[in-house]
Amino acid sequence: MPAKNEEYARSLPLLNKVFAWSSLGLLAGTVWMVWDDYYRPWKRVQREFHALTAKKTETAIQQAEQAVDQNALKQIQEDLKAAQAQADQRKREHDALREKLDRADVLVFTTDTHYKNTKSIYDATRFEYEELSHQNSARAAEQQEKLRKVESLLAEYKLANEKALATQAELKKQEEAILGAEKVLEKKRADLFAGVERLQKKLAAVEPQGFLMKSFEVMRNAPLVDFMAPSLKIQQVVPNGQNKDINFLTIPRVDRCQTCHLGTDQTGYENDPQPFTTHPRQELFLAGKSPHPVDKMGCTICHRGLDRATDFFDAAHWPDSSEQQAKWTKTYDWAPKAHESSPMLPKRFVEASCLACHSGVVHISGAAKWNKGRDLVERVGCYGCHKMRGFEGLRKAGPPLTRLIWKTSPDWAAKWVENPVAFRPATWMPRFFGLANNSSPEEVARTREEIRGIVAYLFEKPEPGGFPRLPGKGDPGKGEKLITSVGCLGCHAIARLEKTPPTLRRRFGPNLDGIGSKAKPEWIYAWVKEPKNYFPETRMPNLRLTDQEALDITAYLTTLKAPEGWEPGEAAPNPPLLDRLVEQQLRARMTAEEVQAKMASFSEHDKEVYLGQRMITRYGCFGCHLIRGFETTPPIGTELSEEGSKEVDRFDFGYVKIPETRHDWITQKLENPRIFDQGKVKTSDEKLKMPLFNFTPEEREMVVTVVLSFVKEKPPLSSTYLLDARHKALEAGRRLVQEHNCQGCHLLEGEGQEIRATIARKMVEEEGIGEEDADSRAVAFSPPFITGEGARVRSDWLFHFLKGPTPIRPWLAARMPTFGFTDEEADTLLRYFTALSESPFPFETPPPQPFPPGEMAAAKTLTSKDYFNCFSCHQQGAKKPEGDPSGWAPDLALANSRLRPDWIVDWIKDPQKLYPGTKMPTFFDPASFDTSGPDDVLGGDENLQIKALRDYLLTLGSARMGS
Amino acid sequence: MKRIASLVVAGCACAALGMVPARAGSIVGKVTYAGPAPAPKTITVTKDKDVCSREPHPDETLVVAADKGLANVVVYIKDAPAAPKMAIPAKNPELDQRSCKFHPHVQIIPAGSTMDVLNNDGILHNIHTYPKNNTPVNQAQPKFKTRMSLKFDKPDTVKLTCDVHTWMNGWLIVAPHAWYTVSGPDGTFKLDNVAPGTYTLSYWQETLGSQTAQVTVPATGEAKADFAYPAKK
Amino acid sequence: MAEAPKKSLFALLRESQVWNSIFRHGPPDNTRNRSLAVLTNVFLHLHPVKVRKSGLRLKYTWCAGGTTFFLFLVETVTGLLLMFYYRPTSEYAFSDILDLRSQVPLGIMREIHRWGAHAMVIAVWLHMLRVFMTGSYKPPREFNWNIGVLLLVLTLLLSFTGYLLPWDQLAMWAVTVGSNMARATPFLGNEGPGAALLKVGDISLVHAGDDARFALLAGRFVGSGALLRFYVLHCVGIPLVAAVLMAVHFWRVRKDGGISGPL
Repeated sequence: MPAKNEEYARSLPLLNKVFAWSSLGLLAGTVWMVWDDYYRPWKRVQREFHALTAKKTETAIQQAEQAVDQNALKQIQEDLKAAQAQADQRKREHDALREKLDRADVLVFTTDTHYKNTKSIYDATRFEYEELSHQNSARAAEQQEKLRKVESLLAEYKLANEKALATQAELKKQEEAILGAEKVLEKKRADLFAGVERLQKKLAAVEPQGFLMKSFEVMRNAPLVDFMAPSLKIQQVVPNGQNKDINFLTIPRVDRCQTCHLGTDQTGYENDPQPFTTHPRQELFLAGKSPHPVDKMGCTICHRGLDRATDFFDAAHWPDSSEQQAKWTKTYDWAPKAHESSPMLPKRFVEASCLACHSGVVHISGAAKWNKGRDLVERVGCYGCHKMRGFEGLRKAGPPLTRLIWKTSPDWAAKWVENPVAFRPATWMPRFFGLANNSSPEEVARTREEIRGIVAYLFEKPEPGGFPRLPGKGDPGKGEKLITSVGCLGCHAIARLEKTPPTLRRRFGPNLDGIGSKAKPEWIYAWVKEPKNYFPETRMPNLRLTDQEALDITAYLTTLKAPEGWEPGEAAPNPPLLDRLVEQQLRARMTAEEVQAKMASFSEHDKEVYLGQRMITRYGCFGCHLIRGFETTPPIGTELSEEGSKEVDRFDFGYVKIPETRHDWITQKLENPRIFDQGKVKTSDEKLKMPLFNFTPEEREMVVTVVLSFVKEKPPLSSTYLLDARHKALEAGRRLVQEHNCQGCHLLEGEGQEIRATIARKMVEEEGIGEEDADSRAVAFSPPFITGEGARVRSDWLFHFLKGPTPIRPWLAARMPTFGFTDEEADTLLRYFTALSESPFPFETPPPQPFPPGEMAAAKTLTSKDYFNCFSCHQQGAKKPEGDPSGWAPDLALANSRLRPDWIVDWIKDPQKLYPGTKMPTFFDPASFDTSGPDDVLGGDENLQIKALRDYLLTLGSARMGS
Repeated sequence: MKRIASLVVAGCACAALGMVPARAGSIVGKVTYAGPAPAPKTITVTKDKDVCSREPHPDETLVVAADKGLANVVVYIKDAPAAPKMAIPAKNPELDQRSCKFHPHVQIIPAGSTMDVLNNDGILHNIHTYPKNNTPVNQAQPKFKTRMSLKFDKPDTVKLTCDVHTWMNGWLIVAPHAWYTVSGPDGTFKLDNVAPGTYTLSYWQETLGSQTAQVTVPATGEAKADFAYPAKK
Repeated sequence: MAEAPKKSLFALLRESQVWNSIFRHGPPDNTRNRSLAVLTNVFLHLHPVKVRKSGLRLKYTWCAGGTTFFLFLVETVTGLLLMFYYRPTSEYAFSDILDLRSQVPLGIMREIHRWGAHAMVIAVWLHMLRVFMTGSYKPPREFNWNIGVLLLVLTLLLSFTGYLLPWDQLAMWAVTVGSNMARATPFLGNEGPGAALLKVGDISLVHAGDDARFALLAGRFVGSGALLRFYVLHCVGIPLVAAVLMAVHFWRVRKDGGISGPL
């Protein structure tokens, strides 16, 4: 107590009040601080998920309870009562038994312990004995005696233990006899309810039952004490070896996405809203057995985004559409996350992540959008200007311009370069002129003069030579028939014949519209006869046309004229503008006096050629076309090998108001490449020069997906999809298949045969077949399915066929062209097909000949008119079947040199299985195989009959190679 | 006495009426073709002429009678939930390939039934079906297989061809319910036991395609449903 | 004979040696004990037992110095707690700050530390302003003023070194700009006046690899070396020096006549 007469500096009640209020305030502040720190949005999400799971589990429990067989349950309950009554009767007996059993348990334990202890003593004693005898000590003998005693003790204890165990077992058996029935029935009852109990346990895990558990649930997640056993916790996956690149350093990925996305790896949440929705395609992603299990891969390696974040905004979620963005802004207060180097990929671009691990393949299975984008990139030739990893060493996308005069005229070329789309709306050639940054009247005048220059350059000093005049006259009607049947439409489209836009494979070759106004007839004739005479690296194969066929086709193509109102012609020359442009170019490279001198030495034509040369350098035409003087010039575009990792701030958005993301910039660039010059002041040499490609919005999205897939990060080798030998062979083959567009005509690996649509169309128009049926009718009249070619034909035959095709199917109008494969390419294709069917490569042993004569006789019977009548449709060497070739079947004399013996057996057994839709009917109905064949040949044994037929076929035709 | 007699008669009549199942009418009509009849075409037989030339092979894709009647038009009621299922007959319906021609050219069989394909020509035939809903079939039928069965489970419109004799063609309609019929050579047809109501009646001809018309079926009696196909362009 | 009254447990405790070795005097219920409570306590005895009434003039002092010291203590405690979850390496610094923000329980320490730092700088300037405005730098308090200025500099250095630790763009560039100034130090900076003179023939003795800036950054640019160096300075080096100077500062205040004593 303070002394009585002391004063206080301040009034105590006031101080008390201040102290009290400030204490309360600080307490409130502290509580608020702790609560704010502990409240995380993901905890609320987890609670929602638990509630959802609880609801589902409750429904499942109800269903499971209803599913319990009530009759069986009643039976078991009755039996149980009886068993229990029985057990009760024998209670006294049981009690006595129990006592004995307890004693037996004790005995077992004690003897066992004794044994174990004695064993340790034995080991120790033995060690000592070893030491002593090693030291030749006198005490060794004594020790040995001790050892012997311990050994015998050990044996005693072991015996005692065994006896005790036996007694115990016997007593247990007796007990089992009393209680056994009850136990079995209890188990049966438990089994009935096993499902229910499991579900109830599950329910208890997510929703605590009862007041005690409910309060515990609250306590265990309370602030400060939730370090012990929280039910709401962060879920994280640290995928082994996956790293993230953060500016010159790599750190491991730590994916915490599943903290909120809880239902993704469980089935049953397919119809629930995000973030709980089950991930689609569980057989491919997330499931333990899938190739991308979530505990090894995590989430962000595919979806990108900030891996360690547990907040909706921090994770850099990105909306897939404006509707989704509006929804997110409302629900989550979403705004674009600035300065995030790896924002999440919007859903429509998610296939961009596949390439990092699945590099080195032509197509990534399962990534259809990316594959189409890649095909587009290769077809359009982006790599001609932009260096891209994975697209090295590819041929130039466009035809050579070294001998244009053989093909067309300067007037045509000038009008074409100015606007290719006006001549041919479906062209692959992009537009350089008339775009956002060169459409003003001055720009148009300037570009017209530039085009004059370019054309002057291209037609200057052409390669000597040319094509001779046509050797005769062709019939356009016949030509049209030929073009639509011989196979041209597998790679080419002709707009006036198309009802729907052609697929990408049918746009492999250029659209043929307007070719009559573009190319000289001599050129067309020479081209269809042998394309390599003009363009040695062309993909167009040789159709082995006769002269007359070529003339007919030329006549037809010559009728395909330019669109109405399109006229070839260069702009009128503008000498003052030409002078100005040439001076501008010269000035950048030499002093003013030198420029004057040079100008004086130039003629008008020289100026045009010079300007053309400079413009070709600027626009980079040589990226797609071989041009004299530019054979080795490097491409002019930005390297895109790591475009998907490029920092968003590095993209030049200029003054264009679009969302600041990579995908928006790239999409905008593809849609209007020059738009980023908007608002900028640039000289003509500084302006953007990327041309405009004719992509549809869907195609743009595919290409953007591909560009986004070019990233800097390389996954660890353990995650990369490495190709084994078989897959390497497959990939090499697929590369060739892609390069030569085999799938334009053939169904291979489940895709292609796009020519079938044109054949069906022809059937509808010419034969009046209904549109719904035409497609299935066209199967038999289209080029064959070749996925199983490796199993079907012999490798040596296939090699020769690929090098020089011969007709096999007389009813097909389409011809397999001569591609001019090198030996290496043909071998690659052989390895590809045999790898695909896992057939023996390169050789296999044929069945030994000669075949038993009885078998041959039987086979001859089977092929005769009274039985299978094979030669009613099949050619046999020189013997041809009756009727029109459109009703014939392949020459069976080719069988022994062409077909694999095992395949012949499979084919005869069920052709429809190997080739659904084939004209060859099934002779041995698989539903009734054992009675399908005739009963009077080879004892009615269908397998023998088929073998006989196969062997017989192998005797037709010329001798086998090597036999 | 008279009263008792009339009561008895009335009672019998009621009983008789009561024994009749639900009230049902029928639809009769004639399908005609508004355009000019096509010139009769004969299909050239190019194979197995000795067997296949036994019968004439006129082009059956558009058969117009002298009075413009259209043969082989399938007439049926679309979307009739109350329609009874077409009864599966005790004996399987037959398709005969006599003389390398499908007899009949257009046939209707109930869904779930099995059709027997006959080959009495003594040569190799095959039946190649182009269905939309059932499994496609391409079965050979050599000389020794005179009868072969094919099951059709689902309602369908199936094109039939033969790959050995490429001119052969026919149609098989697998009907989901009983109110399906095909017009005769003169274009007339009759659909019996149709429950009263207003329906959309569909006409389908293999060359001219599908057309519809509305028809109201009375409780008893016939509803007339003549239809004229417009000329093919 | 009457039995000795039973002693209560508490009384027994009070008489035990354990108690007496901890509590050397009775509770502060008389003047002597009240004085001893302050005098015999290592933490409190820096403060005088009795304070002049003038020392309680809050309107005069604003309690600015006390606030600064309080914030220093807050920073020390929160900073210590943060050290359990922060790794001063280039790979982890930024992620650890993000994790402190969103994953670590009571990671709000990071926010408190940051706000506290800003508050401490403001408080120390206010304190300096107050001392100036009230003339508390006048004799005999000139030395203490200088100590105070040193403490101000140390506070700002603490802020500067701490600013780098989140390792984000703001941190790195701010420190780059700040440390670039060290280049211009006379003789000790490679771009400062006089550095060009310290040469032996062609060999420079003061160059980018060994000048004051290099010493500060442990490198030629702000990298992982700078981060570690700044971390050590921020957590140990400067606080130690500041603690010593604060002890001197408080002692001097007391010896010079107490806080807000008349001049």
